[in-house]
This record gives sequence, structure tokens and C-alpha cells, in this order.
Amino acid sequence: MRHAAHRIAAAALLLVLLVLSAASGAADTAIRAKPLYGGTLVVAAGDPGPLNPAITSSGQAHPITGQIFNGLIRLDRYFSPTPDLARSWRVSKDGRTYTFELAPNVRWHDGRPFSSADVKYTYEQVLLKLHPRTATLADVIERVSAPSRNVVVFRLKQRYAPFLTWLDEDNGAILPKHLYEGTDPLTNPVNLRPVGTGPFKFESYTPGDRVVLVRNPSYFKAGLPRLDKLVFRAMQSAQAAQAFEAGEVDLYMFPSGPDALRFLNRPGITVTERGREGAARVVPLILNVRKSPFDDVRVRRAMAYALDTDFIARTAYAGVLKPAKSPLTRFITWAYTSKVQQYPHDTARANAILDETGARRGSNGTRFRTSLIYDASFARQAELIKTQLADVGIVVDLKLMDMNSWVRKLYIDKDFDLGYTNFTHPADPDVGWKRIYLCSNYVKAPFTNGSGYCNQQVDDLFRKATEELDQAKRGAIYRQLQRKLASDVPVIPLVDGIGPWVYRNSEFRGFGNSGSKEQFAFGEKVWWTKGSSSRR
Amino acid sequence: MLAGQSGADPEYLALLRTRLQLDRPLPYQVASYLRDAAQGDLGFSLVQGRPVRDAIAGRLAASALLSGTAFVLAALLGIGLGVIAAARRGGAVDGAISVCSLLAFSLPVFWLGQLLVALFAVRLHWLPAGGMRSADGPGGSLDVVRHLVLPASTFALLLAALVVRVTRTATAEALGEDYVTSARAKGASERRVLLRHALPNALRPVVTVLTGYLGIILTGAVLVETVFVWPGLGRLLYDSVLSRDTPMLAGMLLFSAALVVCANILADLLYRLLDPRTRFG
Repeated sequence: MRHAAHRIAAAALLLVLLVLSAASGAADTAIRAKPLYGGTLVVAAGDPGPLNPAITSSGQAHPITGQIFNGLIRLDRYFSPTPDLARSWRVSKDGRTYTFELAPNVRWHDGRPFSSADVKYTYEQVLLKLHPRTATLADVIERVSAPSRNVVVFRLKQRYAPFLTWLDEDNGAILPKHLYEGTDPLTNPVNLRPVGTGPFKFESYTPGDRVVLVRNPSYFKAGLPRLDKLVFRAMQSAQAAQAFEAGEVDLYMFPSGPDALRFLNRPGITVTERGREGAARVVPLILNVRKSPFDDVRVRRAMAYALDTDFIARTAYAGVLKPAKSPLTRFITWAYTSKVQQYPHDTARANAILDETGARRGSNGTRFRTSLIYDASFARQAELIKTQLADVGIVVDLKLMDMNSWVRKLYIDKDFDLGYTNFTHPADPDVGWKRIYLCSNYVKAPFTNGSGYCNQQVDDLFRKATEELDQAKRGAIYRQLQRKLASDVPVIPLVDGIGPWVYRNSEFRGFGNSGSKEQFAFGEKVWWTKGSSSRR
Repeated sequence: MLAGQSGADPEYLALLRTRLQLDRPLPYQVASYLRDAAQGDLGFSLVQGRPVRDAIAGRLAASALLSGTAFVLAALLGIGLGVIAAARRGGAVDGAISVCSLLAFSLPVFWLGQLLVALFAVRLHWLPAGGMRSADGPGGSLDVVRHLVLPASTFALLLAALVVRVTRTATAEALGEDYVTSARAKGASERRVLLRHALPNALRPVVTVLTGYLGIILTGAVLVETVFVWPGLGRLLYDSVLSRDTPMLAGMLLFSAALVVCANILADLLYRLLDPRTRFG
């Protein structure tokens, strides 16, 4: 099967790439002990706010709601769909009708039966209207129908290749119709005592302190979950690191680079990116290509040569993220290629190109002055960029501001020279990655095409990839796009990767089995090494 | 409020704008806020997913417990040490107390807090690193007290520093007054002179400092609550700033203003208690 070969290749690639997990993650797969039952897993996470996954894309809420709710499908490590609430599906010949058969005997935590009506309601009334990301699907979906209790049919307006990648809990959690219908989903009090279909039931939420979930004994996936309880404690990173160190926390969701390194190679602790593939991204330095001198591709290439991305990855990201070798993240294995124009650090070459463009050094050694807008989370990167560009005679004024301010300047006002952005390329290049480059996406809205790059050929290729349902052919189109974009450099890819997460493998096993967004799904399969061999 | 979210559909933004009445003229928005606030309705926080009033009320007990404990400790410690220092003016004890209080006064709370956590929680495992209750286990009030020890002592130490200095100065001054000389002349013990004659007169500036604290306890607790992961109002304030939760911030501003007014009224009442000559009006 073509797919299998693909996966083996991808697995091999990942093995090489996941240096971080190599040391400790291997232990997990090596020990094939039988899962045990019972135990409480304590997680250091953020303070989630409302626990309604269908109205938020918040990275604080989903690690919790992902244990309480399900989507129709789940994405595996290579972003291929696997069953969740839908146990099977088929796509019509014209590629516009998706028919899902739902798992039988699924019940809501309050005992009411789950059915296709819940799916139809959630999509029509909540997800397509109120989910910050999924609302964009309203342009693609013609109608959702529920011909029988356990069948849901989505009819699309056009062929749309990434459709299935939208249907997981993150972007498509299904809510109980009987508790939401006729209410305002944004303010419904059920948001603070959620009722889902997932492996864990909500027990309590103390804002600023913790969320407690308990095992759902009648979960529709037999034998799961194995833990009795999940406790999510709201902590900032410094506190979370100390609580993890003190043994009060078993799983640390969002460690900073230095914290991740601190726990690397410690016995009993796993630091890994595995299970976080869904949060992969390339962090780009965005150039305003509608402004001189960045409208000259030679200047952009010279700047790419001037920047030492190895050094930036090593110092500003503590080596946790890797220098980017392509505009697209290496974690989307079926589409990624590093066989694109590379810009190794080469100051002499950068200087030569800049001389060629006529941007000569003045008497003080300066070619031109420019500025970079950024927030505190990018402070070290900004300093390095300033220093490295100074070596080729480009003086960068650093303009530190809060995130909302640079988002406004960059995306709404278009009033900037250099900027950066931090969003992920979730699951499918069509969803997260395309928006950076698409000419038609040069609009006054946050997180769109910031650089102002516009190339009809690129837009056409992206459109072709959206409609092409064969993944191999799509991959080829995206590789062509990467080559084109690496050569045009509307943004300079700096680093590629994901922050790892950290857990105590001496006491908890079963991680690495719940797909590319395992952070939102780990509760289902993780088990405690001190548990009992059978359910009492 | 979208700061924590990634990506946003334009139609979705327009919908939010209408729902939050951001499309209405500003004077209308202000008037409707004030009207609701007067009726005790401080609006709805979408970030917290509940009415602002409920969010504040939900954190009040935790904050009151931490700040109250720290406040009482600070008052006892501060006045006690201040009086001792004043009585032993110029001696080694006075010197030691002065140096310590100056040190405590200038220590950054996040540094002291992290240090205490590193020592007592991470290294010695005597006390929990943060939070108000254990993640798992029996819980109960003893559990809360164990969690309270570090944050309350850190906070108290910082608050006590100024109290020590003010008490010492005021008491020392009072000890030089004529009525102290006459008290000594009529044969009162040095202890009685200090506690019955000098101290009550010295307490006025101390009361000013302490009631001043009541007002800032909300903001002062931001750092302590953040360092020790205490689920109180200080953290709510901090989180609300980060997530640009405007309804929450406006509500907390009103609430803390009310707190300051109450603290000042309390201070005036205490002045009257300490010095019956004080007149109101």
C-alpha cells in the first residue's frame, strides 16, 4: 500500500528528527507492559476559562476539553484521520459528499444518548458560527444532514482536500444539543460544568486553581480510560517547573526552552515533541515586500544569507526548535521537502549581493535603516537579528510592543518593515500555511498574509492543492510551492519545530499513542505504573 | 480578548463586535455600563466564562485568607519588633532589627518567593510548592494551612518591614515626650511606660500604614499570588491584564476603589479609638 511505504519513510525521518525524544522516549515503546488501572495524573496547564471546546481555539482550554469531548475523527502522528465519534466514513466520487457512520451506544455524561442530531446541531449552530477557526468552514460546507440516528452527511460546495483534518476535537468538538439548544453558547452556564462524551467526566473547576476530571465508566471505547482522575492545575511556567521538580505535578504541558532542557536526560522523565506534531510551525521573519528596499528579491535573499538561523535556534530557542530548512514545517511529512534554495550563513555573500543592488554602505558603514516590531516573547530573537543584520550594514531599530499592538501594525495597518509571527501550521498546509502567502489573503485581518507577497502562480498552485484529493499529488504541489517560496523569500524562515512537553515516565506510561494532538487526548490511553491489574 | 486564540474569521469578529455592543457609540457604552454597575451587574467576562461579579466573588475568600493572615502577621511582627527596637534604641538588637527590616523592605517578592519554594518545597519537601490545596488526597483545613505558610510568611515579611520602621520611629519619638517623663517620675515601670503610655500614642502613623495596606492588598498580592499559584484576586487581575479582559479589569477597578474607600473609613474610626480627641467632620 502506498500509504504504508509513506509511513515507514515518515517514521524513519521522524526518528532522525526527534532528537529530543530519542533519549527518553524510546523507553516507552521498549517496555510493552500490560496497562494497569487506577491513579491520578496531575497536569500543570493554564487557567482554561470556559470549557466549551466548540467556541474556542484556546491552547489553555483544549488540553482539558479534549479529555471531556470528542470530535468525529482524530488525527494520527502523520495527520491522517482515525476514528473517534465516527467509526467509518466514505467520500463520494465527486469528492463533495462525506458520509460518516457514528459509533453506536455513545452516551453523554448525563446519561442521554448521543446521536447524529448532536453533530448537526453543533456544526450548524455553534462551530460554523462561533469557533474562531472553524467558522471559516462555513464557506465550504453547503449543508449538514442527519439522515438517521447514526449517520451524518456533509455536503461541500466544492472539492476541499483538507476537510477531514478539521473534524477533530480541537476544531470540531461535538456538544450535547439537549443542553445547548435555544441558549447562547457563549454564555451558557453549562460551559463551566461541561457534559461531553469523552473518557473523563467533569467534576469541578476552581478558577485560577484547578480543574478536576474523573473517569467515565461508560466510555464508548471499551477498556478506556485507565486512569481514575485527572487534575489540571493552573500555573505559570516558573511555578509549573518548580512544582514538577518538587514532584507535585506529573505532566508539564508548556515548558519554556530552558525548562525543557533542565529536565532533559533526567531518569524517570520524558521530554518529547511526540504527540505535539499538531502544534508544529515555522517561525518566520516577515518582510514588508510592498516597501523599498524589501520589494527587491535580492535584498531579501541577502538578508537570508546574513541571518545565522543555526545560532538563533541554539541560543534563542535553546536548541529545542531547529533551524528551518524550508518555509513549511518538517512535521507535515507528506508535503515537506528540504530540497529548496538554502541560505547558509554567509556574511560575505550577503554583502556582495547588497553591493550589487546598489544599497551601498554610507560613510558610517550603514546601508539602510529599518525597524522590527515584536513582543517580549521574541526579545532574544530580535536582539540576534539586529546584531546579525548589523554585520552586513543593515541597522535595525527594535520596537518592542505588546502582541496586540504588533498584530495591529503588521496585519491591519500594514505599517512596518520587519515583523514576525508565531502561528502554527496545523495538520494541513492548506489551513495554516497557505494564509501566509496567498495574494487574496492580503487583507486587513489578523494572522493573514503579512508580507504583502503576491504571485498569481503561487495562488493558482495553492488552489490546485485545495481541490486535489490525492495526497501524493498534493504533496508534489506543496513541494513545488516550497521551492518557489524559498526562492522568493517573502518571509525568512527562522526556526522549525514545536516545544516539547514533559512527563514523569517512571509513573505514567501509554503516551505517544494518541495522535498529533495528543495534548488534547492523552487521558484516553495513559496509565499509572502503580495501578492494579484489573478494574475493581 | 482574542489574544490567546489563534486565527479568527472576519464574520466571527463582526459577530463578537455586535454582541459586545462595540458597534454602539461610546457614550452609550459608558452609560449602559454605569447603569448596570449601579445595579450590581459588572458585565460578563467571556475569558472567564462567567459574570464579572461571580468571578470576583469566587476569588475573594482565597485572597482574604492570604492577605488577612499576612496582614495580621505583619501587624504583630511589625509592631512587636518596632517597639523592641525603640526600647533598645542604639543597641545591637535595634541594629539587627533595622538591618533585617531594611533587607525585607528591599527584597523583590518573586525572588524571595522562588527562593523559599526552592528550599522548602523542591529541596526539603516540607511544604508544597504552590496552590491552595493538594492535587490529590484528603484535603481539609490542615492542608490549606500547609499551603498558606509560605505565601503568607513571604507577604507578611514584606508588609512588616515598613511597619517595623514606622513603629520604631514613632515609639522612639513618643519616649522623648513630657508625659513619658512624668510617667517615669510617678514611678511607672519601664515596661508600663512603653506599652501603656508611649505605644498607644505612637500607633497613629502605624494605623495609617496598615490601613493603607488594606487598600493595596489587592494589587500587592499580585506577585505573591503569582509566585505561589494562589487562586486569589491578584492572579485574576494579572491574568485579566494578559488576556485583555476589559470587563474584568473595569470590574476589579471598581471593586478595589471601593476597598480603598472602606479602608480609609476604617482608618478614621481607628484614629478615634486611639485618640478620643479626634473629631469627625
